[in-house]
Amino acid sequence: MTHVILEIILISFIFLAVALVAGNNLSACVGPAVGARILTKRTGALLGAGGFTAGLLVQGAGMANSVNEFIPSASIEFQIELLAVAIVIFIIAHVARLPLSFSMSLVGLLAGYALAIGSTAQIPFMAKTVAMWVIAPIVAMIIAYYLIRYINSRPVKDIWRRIRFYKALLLVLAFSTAYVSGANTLGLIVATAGFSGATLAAAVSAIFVGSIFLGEGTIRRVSGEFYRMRYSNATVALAASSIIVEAAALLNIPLSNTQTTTAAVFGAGISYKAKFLSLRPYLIIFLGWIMAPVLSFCIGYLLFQL
Amino acid sequence: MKNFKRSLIVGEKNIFGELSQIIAIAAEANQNLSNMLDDHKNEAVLERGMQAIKSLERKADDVAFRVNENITAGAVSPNILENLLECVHVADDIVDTYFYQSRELLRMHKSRFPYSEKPKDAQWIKIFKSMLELANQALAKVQQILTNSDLGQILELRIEIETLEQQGDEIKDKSFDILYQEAPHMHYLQFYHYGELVHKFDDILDGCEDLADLVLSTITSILK
Repeated sequence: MTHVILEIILISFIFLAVALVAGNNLSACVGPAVGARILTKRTGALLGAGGFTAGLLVQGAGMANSVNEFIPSASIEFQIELLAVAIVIFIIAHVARLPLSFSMSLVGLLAGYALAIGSTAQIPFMAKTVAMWVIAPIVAMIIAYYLIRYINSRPVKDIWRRIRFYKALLLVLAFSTAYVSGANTLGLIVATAGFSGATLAAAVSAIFVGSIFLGEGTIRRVSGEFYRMRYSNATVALAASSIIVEAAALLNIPLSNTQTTTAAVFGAGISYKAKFLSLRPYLIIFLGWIMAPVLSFCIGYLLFQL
Repeated sequence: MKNFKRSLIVGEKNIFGELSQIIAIAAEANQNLSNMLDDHKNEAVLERGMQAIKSLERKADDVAFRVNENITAGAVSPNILENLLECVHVADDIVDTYFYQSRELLRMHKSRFPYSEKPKDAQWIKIFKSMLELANQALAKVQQILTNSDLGQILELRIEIETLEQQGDEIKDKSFDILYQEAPHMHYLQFYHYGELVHKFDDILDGCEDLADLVLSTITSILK
């Protein structure tokens, strides 16, 4: 009986975590397409939800390997505890308007817990993950920088054909970015509780609930502010982000797609001769990348000690 | 599939297409004003011409209102919204200027100043006609810019419009030299009338140049 109650709590937490992350990440995936008015907010939310679901169902199970690297045999109580703490951290950061990545936070908690129980087996994987977190934004930035320079150096024969091409590409990339986010971040959340019919059903329904009810407001804000970008910049940023997060998913390494997208946006911005960039938001995001895993690591460590 | 195709509509291209309707109206107004100048002592012709331009101006206002609505509600990148709205404003201003000129011509004719020294009308009409001819060429080139999809050709057309505008500036300078020479033999209102007409003809050419620049910067902004 107790086990059934715990199962229900765990699935509820999976639902909540997936809904929050789907709602939050939706804007990073479909924001440029909605901002450019290629998609309406509702269609964007549905396209994003479709991408998240496809990614989670096709590739998400791969992230179970990542969780196993830290906690090969976690109890249901621990899984609930872990998700509860990750959700609380995410909500506090969201209310405080701090850009904290859920996947980074979750990995930090897992690593803190693993170290607290004296496990060292996860250290090579941790090193690989941290290396990915450092390299991925740099690579995204470099890809975006050179891609924009290359695009701008190419002569334009037919301006409208090129813009139509950008628009079509933005649609594809909106889906693919959501797909890789589903495969990576959402896959990691579900993997924390283990892949089963119940957790997958909860996650898929949470994706749609989160995208439609929590994501549309963020899309409105984000597409109007952060993503008031040119077609080429938005296309390049999403393409760079999709490629890198997909590579990370194939390697079963958790990687935040907002991290790569932000770095790619920055790379695209500095590729122009005349640069009018406000560095403050990038610095805040950069601090968030460091704070999220470190803070979560400490919480994870202390939680076990208590 | 239908929704997908609708998603790929290039709103900016449609807006430029609609803007070209205002330029076509301006070209029609140019022709009407030219006809008025050809028969500038015939009040009936002047009245008819002014009424025709008045109705064109209203038509342009309607088109401008519709285009503005399409810009704010259509599939247009938010980065260029202000640029596009400014394009509509400049194009509409060109038609407004034609209406102003037609009213001035008619009003001046009706006033029939009681003074003896008559300025050389034919000379002024020639100046105005030459500026209208430049405006006609500039409007045709703006029209080509708005319907063109080749960036290289758009750049060339912009330079050609700039050249026409410079020719207009030269004519304006020379006409002011003449105006000041004739000033002692003119009523001050007539001096003001000719000076104002010259300025406004030049404004039309400036408007064409501004519009070409705005369209080019809009295209560059969405492309790069």
